[in-house]
Amino acid sequence: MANKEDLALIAHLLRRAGFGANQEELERYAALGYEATVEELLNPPEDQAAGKTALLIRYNPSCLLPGGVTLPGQYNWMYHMITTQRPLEEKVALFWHHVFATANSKLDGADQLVEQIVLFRKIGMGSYRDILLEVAKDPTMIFFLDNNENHKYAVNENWGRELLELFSMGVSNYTEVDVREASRAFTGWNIEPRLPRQPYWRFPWKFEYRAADHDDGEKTFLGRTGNFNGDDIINIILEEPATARFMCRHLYNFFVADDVQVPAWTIEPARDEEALEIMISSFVESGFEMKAVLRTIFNSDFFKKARFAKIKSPAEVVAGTLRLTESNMFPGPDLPDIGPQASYMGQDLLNPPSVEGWYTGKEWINSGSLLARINFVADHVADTSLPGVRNIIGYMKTDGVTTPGELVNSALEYMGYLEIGPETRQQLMDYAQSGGDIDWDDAGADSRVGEMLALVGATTEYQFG
Amino acid sequence: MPLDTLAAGRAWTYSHNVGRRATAGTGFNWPVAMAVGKDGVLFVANRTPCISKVTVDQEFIHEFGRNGEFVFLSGLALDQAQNLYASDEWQNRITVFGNDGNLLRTWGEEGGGPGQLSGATGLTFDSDDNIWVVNGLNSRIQKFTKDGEYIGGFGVKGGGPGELDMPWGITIDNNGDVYVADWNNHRVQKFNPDGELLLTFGSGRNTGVATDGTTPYANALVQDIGVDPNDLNHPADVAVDADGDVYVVDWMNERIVIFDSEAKTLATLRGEAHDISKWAAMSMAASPGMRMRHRQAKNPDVMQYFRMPSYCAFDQENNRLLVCDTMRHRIQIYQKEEGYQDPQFNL
Repeated sequence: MANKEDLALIAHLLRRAGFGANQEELERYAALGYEATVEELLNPPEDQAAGKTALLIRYNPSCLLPGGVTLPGQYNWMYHMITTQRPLEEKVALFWHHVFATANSKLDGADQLVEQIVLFRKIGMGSYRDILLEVAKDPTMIFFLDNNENHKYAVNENWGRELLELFSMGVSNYTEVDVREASRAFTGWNIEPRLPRQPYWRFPWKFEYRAADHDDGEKTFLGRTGNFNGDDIINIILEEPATARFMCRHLYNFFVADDVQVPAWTIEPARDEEALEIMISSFVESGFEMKAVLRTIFNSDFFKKARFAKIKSPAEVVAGTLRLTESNMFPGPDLPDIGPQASYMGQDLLNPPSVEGWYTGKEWINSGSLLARINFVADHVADTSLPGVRNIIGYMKTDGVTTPGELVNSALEYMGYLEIGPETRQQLMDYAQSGGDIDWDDAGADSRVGEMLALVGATTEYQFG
Repeated sequence: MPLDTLAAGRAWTYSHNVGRRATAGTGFNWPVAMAVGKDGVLFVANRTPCISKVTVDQEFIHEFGRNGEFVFLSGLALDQAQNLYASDEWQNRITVFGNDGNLLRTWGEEGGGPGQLSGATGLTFDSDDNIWVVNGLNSRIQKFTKDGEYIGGFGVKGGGPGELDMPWGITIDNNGDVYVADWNNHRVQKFNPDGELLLTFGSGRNTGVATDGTTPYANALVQDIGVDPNDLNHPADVAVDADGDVYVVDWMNERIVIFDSEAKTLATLRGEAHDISKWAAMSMAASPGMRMRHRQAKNPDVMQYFRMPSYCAFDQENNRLLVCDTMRHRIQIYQKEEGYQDPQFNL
């Protein structure tokens, strides 16, 4: 059995590079070793699947092509988060959906969004250049940012602007002229007209390059002049130092520790400039390979020291809780219930509030969302019929947990090796002591464990991951 | 004119399709099973759930089963008196309706023991008018009287010969042998009525879902799936015609694979619904926008392809194959022509 420090570190890694892990998974990863675990997460074996896709569609066929209704797409994705054997791949898909935010509020086609998530799963840990190129050709993005309305003689700057402002360099690193010129370069990047949704339901979009609608004239972009097309613009963007810095700040905020939000990046220094420089070097030297920079992050001291330095996103709360308790592993008729849970906490999956994605960190917390988080976690961890909770009860019995202090410590460990302050510990102890020692022969013993797990889930510290 | 799909001495010619996406009435809502009745009547199980009673000639008769009878409506079958049996794979219950949709009775007990139901899904009747029920979750095939009295069964979970893993559809041929779509083992197995394995259709090679999850989305615009027809991917259902030709719904490869009675592949059907059904024409007539978009579509051929079909039936009386094209909310119908001879090549 691995020592607790190793388990705690692996638990930290799996919260960030996945959606948490139960004790059995932590033991397996700890036996593998930290760096080997990072490698497995970066290069999952071929026999490990991105979720129980076939099972999901067999029992819930409507979630393959949800159409205008977001919910089936949401529980499709959440089901993959909780059943994936490739947790980092899924977490990276969530990262990209946050960066390249597209929303069903405009698309009216959640099937397009689900397909976009599949794209992020497929290419999300590859080259950032390829990802930018694929996103530029992704019909979901083209429609969301109006590039289908970007014509040779009538330029629409929406995609061109967001490409620079939110997807690569950040504001103050380019001019309005650069926005115009980049947009000109992406004229003709369009969507093939498809069959309509009626009478035989949704057909997928497909990228179409319309040479006749492409502005073939000379453009001057970020000081370079030439007859640029869209892929040239992406190549130039990657030559700009601002790009690696902007993306690494995104990666730091998502995977390492809460930073200020994107609009403040031009005026607020990075939370950890030294860490950012290490990430930038790795990103640039690898030729913008996502795996390289993720490997650098997860193996770094700054990452290992950043335990509980992030407030969990709602998706992390929901997926982490369901994985821990092994709830909804079979896609039964209650599966739709897991779709909107993150929305109740402020993260409407497949429907971010704007192209900026969600504001993170303390922005996740308000009096309503905090209650939703606490209640969701409590409802699950206090349900002693759920397989994951039964396992925790079994571990505690095997461990010989008896005293109130042991109950508190054990609950903190099995909820992710949580670190808490003395005041919180005292509150948990007060409650545990009110019931005295645990008698496992007592009919109420299991409920006491469930109640303690629920209390841990309600602590301030548990909101951090 | 529709194209013919040919094999030695046979041809399957697309006839027409029935359906459109509709949450009620003249259309279907994720149709997952069917029962072929007399005089062209079809009962269609919509996952929503409800049961539609329609005709092959595209007449809507009525619908029923919306009054809380079902959670996961899954299988349908008609007995010799034309009463309809419907399985619910969540409630583990068989609900029996009269031919006009009136509720007659329910039976079924949840559990893993003999005679109990665990994920009750595919249904079929044998020539003695006993009903066979597929237990999808504990991988058993069981035979009951029409009143739910357990007669016998077979099947254990596993990947070895004769074992089953989450079976789905079932049919019985004219000799009384039983064919089961062994969904998670990517094959169809043929048993005698005592459960002895006779033959296996498909390689059983797991082409499954790609690890990155792309498979369910990869085929939608593709004519040629590019997978050996013998490599089934989660077969959902099976049917047999009077000649012994076997039709397998290759669910995730989105096609029908036709085998001969010796389990050799004969042909594949990718779907040929290039036409607009009668009800679909109503949608088009009602919406100029849809009509215009339809005319503008650069790839209208993709309309004809199956999209994750999940059920098929062979109507021996009329020698035609009917396929539940689940994600397209329609039934595609093919006519089988026997004794087909290819014309001279250089005509």
